[in-house]
This record gives sequence, structure tokens and C-alpha cells, in this order.
Amino acid sequence: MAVDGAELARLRKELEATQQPAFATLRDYLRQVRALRVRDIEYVTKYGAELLARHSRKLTLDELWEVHEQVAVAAMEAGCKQLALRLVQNVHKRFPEGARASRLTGMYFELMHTPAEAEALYAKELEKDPCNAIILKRMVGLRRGQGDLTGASTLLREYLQVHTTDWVAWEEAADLYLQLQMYQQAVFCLEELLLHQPADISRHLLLADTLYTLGGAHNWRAARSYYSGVIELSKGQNLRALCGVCACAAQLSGIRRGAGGSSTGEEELPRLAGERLQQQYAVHCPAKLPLVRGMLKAQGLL
Amino acid sequence: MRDAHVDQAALLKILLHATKHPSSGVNGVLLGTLQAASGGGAAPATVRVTDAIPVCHGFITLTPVLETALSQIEQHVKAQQGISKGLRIVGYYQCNERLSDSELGGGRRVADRIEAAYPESVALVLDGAALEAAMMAAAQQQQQGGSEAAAEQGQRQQAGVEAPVLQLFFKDGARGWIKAAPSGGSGKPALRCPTQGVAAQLAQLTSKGMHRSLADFEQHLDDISADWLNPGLLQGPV
Repeated sequence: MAVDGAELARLRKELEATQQPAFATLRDYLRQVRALRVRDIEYVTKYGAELLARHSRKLTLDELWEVHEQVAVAAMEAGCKQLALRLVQNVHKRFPEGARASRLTGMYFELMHTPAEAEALYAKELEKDPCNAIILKRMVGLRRGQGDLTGASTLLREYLQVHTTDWVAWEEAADLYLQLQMYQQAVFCLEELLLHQPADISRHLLLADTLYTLGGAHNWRAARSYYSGVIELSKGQNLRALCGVCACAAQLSGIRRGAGGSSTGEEELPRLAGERLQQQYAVHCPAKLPLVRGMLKAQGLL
Repeated sequence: MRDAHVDQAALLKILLHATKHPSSGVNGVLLGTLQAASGGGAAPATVRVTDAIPVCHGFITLTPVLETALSQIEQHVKAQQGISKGLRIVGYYQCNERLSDSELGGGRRVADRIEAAYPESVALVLDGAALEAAMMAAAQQQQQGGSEAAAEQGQRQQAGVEAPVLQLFFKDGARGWIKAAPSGGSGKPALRCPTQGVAAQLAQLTSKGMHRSLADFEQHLDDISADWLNPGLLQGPV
């Protein structure tokens, strides 16, 4: 995740450095946010609005409307009602018939606490095209916004039965099941997601964290293997994975002690992870090294 | 069962953490002391929350990051005994994804864990609706400008709407976590937390970007240079 975000972080610093960021910086920042699918509500709203106010003529038509959509959604998430309304109205004027425009309009209704109007709008679009993925997924969002997580997950499950390769939807389903604490279902969705996005470290970590939370020897071992996969992928840099391996070891050794067994083979990995952790902290954060050593000691790894 | 007093510094850190991640839940650990009641004997101690350590944002019911954080926070507390005698982990805080949700929900499991290891611990959940109302009232008062009459009217309005923005939960044996009534009464635990001017102060801090400077434990794991103790955050650059 840190590797992916390097360009994004660089652009952020450029934006922060000046009162009037350059057009290219604004445009590239918004592009990176879209590509990485991060959620950066404050900055997208602020800098997106600036890009549209001062440089909209320099954008290609396609990008202009993509940016409109991106900034409108961020503005709504930030609660900036006036900005959101302006952007949504512009999109609606340009695309009076589009489903994407309807989705934005509906989201504005949701923001203004009139979900019934939003739902009516989505229903109208679904009459025109019952398979419209954008609107079907927006219905899920509507339910979630209303606090009906169970309803949202039911709708999403139905959607995924048809659109089995929509990995964005698998990600949202995992998110919903995690919020509902239905961890077994979340694991299933995350495994599907990893099939589509095998190099995404953050998803490996999320799956490992979920398995760890589920608990039990079988799940801790499975979590451990995902954490060690991330350690390999990150060449030993990823702190979450290193800590994860140590935590799994502590849980599993607790079980082993209880069962009266011991397995030196299994102890090598956490020992190495513990050493790597100490190395990282000694170099990059020596002030916290004693705390980390204390933790490793409590886990029986020191 | 005991009263909980929350210091301004702890409250502001919780609010800054929530502000930094507006579209997800956040949680963290509370530090403080247990103060014996003046009567002594069987009277319950008061929990005094002096600091809040932000831990997670996003999937706040997953345990690995929280367990790692708890372990290191314990070490930190031990190391502080020379400077702050009696400092200990005193509870758990949580701010939910949706403003209207001020329930402990999935956080119960974590709160249980903390309370089992640190008896008398409390749980604090953000009351999003109260915070929103307080922020709107503060913004209105600011807009009405500096005239005395406006300030007075603002004060009167504020006295009506400034409810505490946190909800206290306490563990009641087998009954589990119970929401404390706002004013306690007849031996029930009550929450004492700053209300006057909190929203205005939060607005001032966020306008200076303090929420962006706050680092939680999860952020530290992604960027080792981020300090989850956030030393000097509230003093901040002037």
C-alpha cells in the first residue's frame, strides 16, 4: 500500500506547498485518487472544486465529466451541500437521460434526507433497464446510508449472483459483512476479491486480519500464511504483516501449551519476524523500540 | 459502577480522530486514573480520562491491530509510572460510521476484552447527533459576528443545545454494557465532560488542520514515522 501511494503522497505535498497549485498537479492528483480508489474526501472536494473553477477548459470532455462526478460525490460525503448541488445540476443538464446522472441526483436526495425521492428515481431507472449495474449498486448504497446493512447485503448478494466478476462489488460486500461482523461471509468475499486482485497487499492484510479475528487454530494458521505472503511481497518491510505473524504465533503457542505439544518448526517464522520488527524500529523509530520489545516479550518471542 | 470524568484534551483527541476519518468508524484506548471516592470504603472510584490514544480507522471490529496497540500502550503506561503514577488503561472509545449511530455495537467485544484486563474500565461512544448540533450552533454564533447582543443570544442558544457529545457505557456484570443516563442520579454512573465551547474549539483546530496531523496506531503501522502518542498535538504550531 505504501508503494502504491508514493505518487499520491508526492502530489499531496505539492498541493499543500502552495496557495495556487498548478493545473497539472490538480488534475494528476484527482487521477491518482480515481486510479487507486482511495477516499480522500477533504482534498478531493477542495482541490477538485478548484480544478473545475479555474481550469475546466483545459480538461478533455470525458475527463471533465468524470471529475464532476468524482468531486460531486466527495462534496456530498463532506456535507458541502451547495457545491454538490451545483455540480449535480451541471451533470444533469449535460446528461438529462443518463443513469450515471440519475445516480448523482439520487445521492443528492439521500444527502438532503429525502431517501424516498432517491429510491423513486432509482426505481424509475430500473424500469428502463432492470440490469443497470450502476443503479443496482446505488440501491445497496442507499440501504447502507439508511443504516439497513442487512438489506444492503441481501441486495448485493443478489447482484453478485449475476455479476460474478464485478470485483468492486465483491469488495463492497466484504466491507458490509465486516460491518455486520459476519466474518465467515467476509472471508468468502475477500477470497473472491484476491482472485481478481492478487497483488493487492491491503486486501491480503484485510483477509488475514479477518481470519485472525474469527479465531481458532485453523484460522490463525491461515492468517499467518497470508501475513507471511505479505512479508515476502513487501520484502520484510510491512509492519502490519510482521506484527500479525507475531500475534498469530502467540495465539497458537497458547493452544500448543494447553495441548502439551511443541513444534520448533513453527517457531522460526515468528522469531525472524520479531527480529525484523526490532531492526525496523531500531533504525526508523528508536523511541518506540522498548515498547515493541516489551510486546514481543509478552508474546514469548523474546 | 463509577462516574467518568473526561478531560478536555482527551475529548478533543477523540473528536479530531473522528473528524480525520469522516466516512468510517474510528476507535481507540483511553488512559487515565482511578480516583477513590472521598468517602472511601465501599464507594465506587471515579474514572478520570486524561488521554485518548487513537488506534483504528475503517474496520474497527477487527482485532489484530487493536491487540498490537494494546500491548504497546501497556508498555508505554508502565514506562510512565515514574512521571504519572497511577496512570493506567481506563477504557475504550468508538465513533461510528454513521452520525445517527451512538451504540457500542460490535465494539462490545473489544470493550469486554479491555474491561477484563483493566477492571472498572468504561466505554465512550461519540454522539454524532449532539456533535452535529453543537457544531451548527457554534458556526451560527460565529456568523452572527462579534456584537455583544449576538454573543449573548448565542450563549443562550448554546446553553440549550450544548449536550455532551459523548455517550458513556459501563459494564454491569452479567448484564453487559449499559448506556449511562445523561445525568446519572441515585448512585448511577454519570459522565462529566466539557461541553461549553467544545464545538468552537474543534472548529478552530480543524481549520488549522490539526485533524490531519493526528496519527493513529494503524497509520503508524503504514508509516513508522507517524507517532501514535501525538505529543504536543493540541499545543500545535501557532
